Amino acid sequence: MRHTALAWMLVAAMPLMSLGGCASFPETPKLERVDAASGYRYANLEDAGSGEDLFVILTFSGGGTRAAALSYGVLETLRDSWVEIDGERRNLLQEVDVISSVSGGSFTSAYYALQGDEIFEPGGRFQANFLYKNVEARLKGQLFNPYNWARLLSPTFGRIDIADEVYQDLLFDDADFGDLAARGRKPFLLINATDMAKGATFTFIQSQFDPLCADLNGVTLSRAVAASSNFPIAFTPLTLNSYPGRCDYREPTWVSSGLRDLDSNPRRYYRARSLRTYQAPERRYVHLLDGGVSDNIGLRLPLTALRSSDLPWSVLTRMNLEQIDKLVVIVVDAKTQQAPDFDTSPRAPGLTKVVSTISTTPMVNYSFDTVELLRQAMRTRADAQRASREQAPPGEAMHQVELYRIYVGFDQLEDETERKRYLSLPTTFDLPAEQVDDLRRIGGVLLERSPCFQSLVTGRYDEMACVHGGS
Amino acid sequence: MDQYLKVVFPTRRLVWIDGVAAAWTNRVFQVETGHHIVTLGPSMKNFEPDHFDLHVTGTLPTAPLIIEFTRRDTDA
Repeated sequence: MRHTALAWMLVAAMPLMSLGGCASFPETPKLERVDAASGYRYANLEDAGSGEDLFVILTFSGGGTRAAALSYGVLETLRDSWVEIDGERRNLLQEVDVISSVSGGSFTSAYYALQGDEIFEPGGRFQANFLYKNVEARLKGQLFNPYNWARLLSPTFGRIDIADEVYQDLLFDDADFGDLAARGRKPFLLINATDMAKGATFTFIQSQFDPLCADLNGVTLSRAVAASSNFPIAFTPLTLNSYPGRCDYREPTWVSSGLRDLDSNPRRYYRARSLRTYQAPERRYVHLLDGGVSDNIGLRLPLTALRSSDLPWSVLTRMNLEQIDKLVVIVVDAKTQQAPDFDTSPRAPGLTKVVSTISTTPMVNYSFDTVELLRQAMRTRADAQRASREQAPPGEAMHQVELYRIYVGFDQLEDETERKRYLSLPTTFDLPAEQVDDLRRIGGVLLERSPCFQSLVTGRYDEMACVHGGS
Repeated sequence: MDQYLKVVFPTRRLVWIDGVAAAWTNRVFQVETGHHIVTLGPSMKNFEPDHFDLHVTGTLPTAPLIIEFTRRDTDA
């Protein structure tokens, strides 16, 4: 009797098992031929060259719904903020040129880049289906669904592919980067993940996909966001196809220059080497982890754009070409800092606490250094501009750019109780509505309290507040 | 890692660095430390040398590396 029941269960499970064998991640479309005039590239946006005198970059960190809500609050405040330039009143949100995001912050950035102001609709899709929704329960529901167990038996279909489907259903439908390219408007979206083989940032823009001979236009936004928020172990790595050497790809000139810079500029050398590895014929797949593994602030690529002419959307090039007069970088950092309780006891902290410490501490320290690198880059540029202005004949000095560095993070809160409360919020895709409300509000408050932001909106540039810190 | 360069030419022209338009002549500008191929915009080939292959390091905003292209009469 027992054997009969088992046999029937096996028979019933067979269709599911065979279905599982068929399941696979969506294939990344092949790019027939690299064409700089097509695809999702900054230069191909209709408004690429306009309004660059005020160049605004936003970076959204990781941190689940906490990060998504904080960055959402910053967007709301920018929507309600205006600057006057040469007698013309301009809306700050409309002035945003680039958004670079990681993990939780990528939900907000991607939805805004695709849907624009619709993101602010009270009770609209973003609020109802993400910010105020228990997305975690939805993910777990799908992971525990027997239909998906069968699919998960396939070696080419993982938990991240289920997350992709959930985000598609909740927020993005089948919108892809082709839709974003067709929209043709700023902000230029940089969704960052981590290339597992290189431990380096992998960004969903066509110039990153060119050496793979893969067509980003056919990749869905949900997939990019899933890759960016692909928390290790909870999810499996997300896989992209690569077809190196099959699209007439020619590497940019700077790569051969950079490969000579190991001694004088190793950062550039490794950037060049990293790009070249994608052309290796044996690299037929790219496996991606959460963007936070390589940069949890989303600031590394903008930093490179600020100091190097190598990127196609280089900010340095635009400063050198005298296109940018005011550069604004707003860093939205939802980092937390839990006060440890183990130093009150002589007992050695347990395994969970040790694992938690060793997995988060490097990321936190690296993020801190990344933010400090921005401060240093802007300080160096400001000092250089001043020295050049004082020494060179008029008209021959460096182009003078007003530099605005604005940091939005919970450690900026003065009230200790409030600060501790925000710094102890969990990383989850399920926050109570009142906490989401608080995060939206505090994002705006922190932005408006920034002396540098005030100097931007009042039109009275304060280099001390914006570059050096302090006023 | 920030370096400073000035490209001298009798007129204002675009400076191309590593294959892309990246700055203007006769004005100090910032470049990343390292090797760079520097030339002028390709619209008029009336300059020489054809390009400079430079290793830019150790400069200051007040003491940039200065390179000069001279005007060459185009072949009649």
